[in-house]
Amino acid sequence: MTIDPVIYSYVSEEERYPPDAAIVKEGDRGYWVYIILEGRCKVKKRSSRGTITLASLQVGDIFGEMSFFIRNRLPRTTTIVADGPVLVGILDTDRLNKELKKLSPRLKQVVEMMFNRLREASDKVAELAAQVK
Amino acid sequence: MTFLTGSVQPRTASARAVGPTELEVWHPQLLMYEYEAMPTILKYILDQSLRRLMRMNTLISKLNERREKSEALIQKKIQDTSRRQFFRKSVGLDCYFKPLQTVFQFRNSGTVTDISKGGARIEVHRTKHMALATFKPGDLFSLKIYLTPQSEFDAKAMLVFQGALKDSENIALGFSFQEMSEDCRKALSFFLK
Repeated sequence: MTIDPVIYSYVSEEERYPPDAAIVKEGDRGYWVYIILEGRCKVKKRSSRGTITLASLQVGDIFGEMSFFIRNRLPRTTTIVADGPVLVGILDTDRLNKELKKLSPRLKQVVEMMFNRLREASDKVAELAAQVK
Repeated sequence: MTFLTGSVQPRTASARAVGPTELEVWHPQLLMYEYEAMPTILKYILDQSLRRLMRMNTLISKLNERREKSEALIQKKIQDTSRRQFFRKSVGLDCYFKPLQTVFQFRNSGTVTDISKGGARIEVHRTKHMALATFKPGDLFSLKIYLTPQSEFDAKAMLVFQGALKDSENIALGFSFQEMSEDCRKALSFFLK
């Protein structure tokens, strides 16, 4: 998969990670938004019965966006681990912020609601997965 | 959600007013116009996140279903094991138990108040073991019971009940033995005679 040039134009920096490196750690503070340019990653989350894998990400997938979009800027909700060598792009958050400001208040509300629901849903999945483990 | 998913999917949940409620209704067309006019990068991120949310919701339903099934299975197992088949001997033996499935594999101590070939009842001090709250019927443990100061008994056991004792700071835990060595089985049989 190739990245849309419009999307790629938002990449301000590129970083390479070795296999098994934690690119984003659950509980950490950080507002960078990443896009996978090469390789694959795993989304992991702590639960009462150990760490579980929630999803796999591939080229073109975005991560770290939740902390950016939720207004009170919560800590990272998941850990993103490189599943092999990975090249990620860091999106220009200043530009993203400018774009976000262009949205109407009601649309911003819809966007924030969706990310809050996504956060709640991933917490719920981790809790349930631990119970049925 | 119906708006975000393009209004083609049926409603995914019901919303019921729990008290007098005032709502502002947004016209989907207006919202859609704004959504479509959104900068490409935001739309790209939002579309991806929306797909993730829908996948998570499906996963939650599936996991709920699996949990209900496994709970029913555990309940059945508990009912089966709670039918006492063996003579229970009242005792006061020191013991240690350790959860096998959780990441917190710390050792807890307690007193065995009665024991049979099928299981044991252990009392532990509630404030001494805060982690007890995280244990639930169906969890597996390794048990070490001192039948005599010289004779240790080890077994893998399943927690079948957990309950606070009236007028006491203790909690009672009921375990059903799942696995034990032949030597331990003999030692227990000899002890119960």
